Amino acid sequence: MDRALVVWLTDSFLLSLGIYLLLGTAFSIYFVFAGANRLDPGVKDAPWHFRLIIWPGSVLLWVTLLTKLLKKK
Amino acid sequence: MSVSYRSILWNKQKIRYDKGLVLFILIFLVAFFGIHLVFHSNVTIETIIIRAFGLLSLVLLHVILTIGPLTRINPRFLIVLYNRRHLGVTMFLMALIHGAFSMMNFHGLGDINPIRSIFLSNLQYQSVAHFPFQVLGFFALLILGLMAVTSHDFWLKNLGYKTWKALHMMVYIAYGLVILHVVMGVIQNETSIVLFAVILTAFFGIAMLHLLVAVRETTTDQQSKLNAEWVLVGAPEEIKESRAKIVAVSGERVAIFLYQGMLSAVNNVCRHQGGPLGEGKIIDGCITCPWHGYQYLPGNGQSPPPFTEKVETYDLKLENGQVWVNAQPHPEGTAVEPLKIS
Amino acid sequence: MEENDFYIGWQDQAGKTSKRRLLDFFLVSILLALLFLLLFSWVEGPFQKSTFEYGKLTEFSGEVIDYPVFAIKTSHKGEDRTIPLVGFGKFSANPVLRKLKERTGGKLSGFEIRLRGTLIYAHGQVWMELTEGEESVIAVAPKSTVDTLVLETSGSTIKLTGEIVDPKCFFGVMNPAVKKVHKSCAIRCISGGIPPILAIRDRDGEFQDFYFIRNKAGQYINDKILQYVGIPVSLNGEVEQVDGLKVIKIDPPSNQMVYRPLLDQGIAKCGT
Repeated sequence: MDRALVVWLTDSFLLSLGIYLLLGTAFSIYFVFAGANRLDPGVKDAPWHFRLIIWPGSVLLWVTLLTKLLKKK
Repeated sequence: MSVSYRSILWNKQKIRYDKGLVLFILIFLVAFFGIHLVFHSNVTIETIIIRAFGLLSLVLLHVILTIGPLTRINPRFLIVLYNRRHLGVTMFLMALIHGAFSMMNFHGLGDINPIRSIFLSNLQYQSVAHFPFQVLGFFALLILGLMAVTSHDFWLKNLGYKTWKALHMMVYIAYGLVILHVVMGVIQNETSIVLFAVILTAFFGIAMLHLLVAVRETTTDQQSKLNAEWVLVGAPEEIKESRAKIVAVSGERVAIFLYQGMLSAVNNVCRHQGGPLGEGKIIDGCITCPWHGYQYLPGNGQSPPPFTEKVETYDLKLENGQVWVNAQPHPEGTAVEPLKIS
Repeated sequence: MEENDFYIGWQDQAGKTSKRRLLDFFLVSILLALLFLLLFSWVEGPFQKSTFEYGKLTEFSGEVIDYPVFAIKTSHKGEDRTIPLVGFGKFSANPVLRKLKERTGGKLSGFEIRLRGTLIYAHGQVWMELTEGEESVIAVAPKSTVDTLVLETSGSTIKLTGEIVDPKCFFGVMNPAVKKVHKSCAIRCISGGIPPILAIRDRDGEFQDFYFIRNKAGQYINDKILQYVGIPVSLNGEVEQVDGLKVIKIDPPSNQMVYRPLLDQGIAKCGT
């Protein structure tokens, strides 16, 4: 396969993934401390390690969660 | 569920299960390291770690994929299904160790970023024999990671059952990628045909198990295909006390439960993870899902407070000693007078 | 089914039958897992002996050469040896060589150099990683006697079949360091400047013969051969021997190297 094409595809993919995860990390900080409570009242009295457990998922699925939060408004 | 979340709801049985899992991993790793240190002492420790954790996660993935169909064939295996998520998360962690070590070992300390190197070292993407198999492992790990981080009930509720289930059905894509990763990687590396035969047998074993269950379930669904207003269930004697019979009603499965001389019909799909309610049992007056123990009142399809799950209910009638179910469901949680049989 | 058969997840105690099933499942799966493990361990390999003295530094004194490879002519365990030098990680030791040449005014012969690094050895060859980079050069001193290199050239073109490997991993940093699983690592090392080697097996399948790969002008062509690493290849070129180190000089274009046809025919039969 053409090396230049593979390099371009790889770098585009990894750059997009990187940006997505960076934004996700920023969102996840808001989400685990505040957003989750609004989305699901069951989170309110949950222990701190529960927030730790949902943290990686909120980094990966931040678009879905943000959409759900906006709809809730 | 609408009570407060806990990180993990431990109980004695669950702890016993997890102890078994830890024991499994320990036995496997000790055996692998022991055998290699004695019989393959020339191999470097990094290679042993990479191979041990790679094989361990491969084995665990096969164990996990066996559980689902096994419980449908014999409900006695349901106890293995419960807590399967701990197996899944553990399997991902083992695969992550394998992936991280491989990346550090093969791609680290080089002239380009190790993650880029996974994609850009071997460029024979058009070849079967020389294909860069590590890329397949990378994507498999990504999928397994996505599943592992969303395995808590919080995600099930907040993503919605359908999205969650779709996400977790991706395990089959991951499995395909893993098989290709293994076949094009280590199996191609070793000259023996034996490994290839073993992995092929395992793959067909998993495929056959799933196929067998699929065929059985299609047969159940074909039992009553009629699109009529009322669908025949059968004689009430066919149903055991506190148990149900499942019939297909215009594309949906309905579970008809018998309890204290009464019959009630609810949708067969549990709102938690889609477990088959009709394979469950009535305990303390509630239909109890065999998968994770979610409960519904047979009379109205509602979970007892403080829980909020609801399933559809159906009308029943008795004619000439035969039970019939109405094809039109009531909305979720609608109370329906149970059918009394003398 | 018996009454106590039905187990619900939140129950503290499962019924006897359920517990029995769980134990059966556990025993059967661990048994199959161990069987698979045994089978795998039995068929994998064989792995040849190799050593990387990680964490242990060794010092050598001697004259340094830069062709066919950056190496030090010294004695190791009472034997005269030319020990090729590589850098830390997946890099060559070229920065050290450049710095050394700056200190000696571009000449290498006529100097006694003292170096420190980590030894790598396998297949009867000894290599050394200059682990500390430029700090690896301990002393540079003029030398009274000057060694002369013995150069032998065959002059004719021959065809050699083997596998292109990165010598750093191959001679001991990693094991196994050949074939597909190691391919991308070898590509990374060669891309990082580590001199590629054509390793040739004898009739028993043991690696016995090693050739440095250069172009006709004697220059490195690492970036041109990356995609031919880790697979059986045949190289056409002139062979020369410099002080016991063998070199094959090839034309870099890809048509000089032919994939062995047996490769593309069978998945499980890569390499011999």
